[in-house]
Amino acid sequence: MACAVLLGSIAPALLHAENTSVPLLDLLRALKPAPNTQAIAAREGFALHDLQTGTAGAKPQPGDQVTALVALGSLDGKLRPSQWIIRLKRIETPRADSQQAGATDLIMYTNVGETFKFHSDLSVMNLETLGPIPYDAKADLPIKARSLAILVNTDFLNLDLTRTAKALAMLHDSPGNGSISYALLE
Amino acid sequence: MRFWNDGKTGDLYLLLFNVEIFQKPVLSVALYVAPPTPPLQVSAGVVGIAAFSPRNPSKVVVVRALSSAPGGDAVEPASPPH
Repeated sequence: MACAVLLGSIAPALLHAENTSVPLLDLLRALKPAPNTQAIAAREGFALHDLQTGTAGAKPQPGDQVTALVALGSLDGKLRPSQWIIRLKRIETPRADSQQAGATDLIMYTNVGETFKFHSDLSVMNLETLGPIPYDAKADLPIKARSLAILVNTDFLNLDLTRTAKALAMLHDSPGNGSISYALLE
Repeated sequence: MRFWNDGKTGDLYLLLFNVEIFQKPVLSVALYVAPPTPPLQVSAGVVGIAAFSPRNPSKVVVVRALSSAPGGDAVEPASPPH
């Protein structure tokens, strides 16, 4: 049975993070690994410092990685929940011959004889998780990282959500425009 | 803008949206996004996520990227400051 469900709406408070008065940026900055989380992560080979933003034009390569902290936070900063460490690491980049398993081509033909081919690749990644680590855990807590190989569509990786944010911010800032919303039908 | 608290700079945008079911907000999500240049491409440029219930915004599930490093012959993350 088909039904229409409003899945989401874009809130009008779409702002450049530097200018927003929403305390969410402070909340994010305030979230730090607990001392023993750092010790356990270091023991298991997880780096929790030096977030490199990359440079325009840099090419993806095996070994690219991002490590993140996952926790329950509170606006008053009093919550001391368990923490997780997750690391995404690229194992291999899509091959240039486009014969990689899972790679697909969307080919569209026009009625004037033109052909458009949209290639979609998969990247092999390693997802590692370490946790849960209680906030007051001891540094010698016997906990090991878990690892799982996953395939990620490179289309999602190259989506560049900053362009979406810039476009929506421009729409929001334009005169006479209130909020922007969208609906999805399933 | 200043990137986190480590003195680095870079574009960082906040993409805020609500998930609604039957026209009632059930989840607010904030995505902190930067350009997806390697090594941040592995997370699609998402460097932070905050999700909370609009009814109880005092508790927030937060994901914060702490470290990133390019692969290949690139250098490993530097030693933490003391």
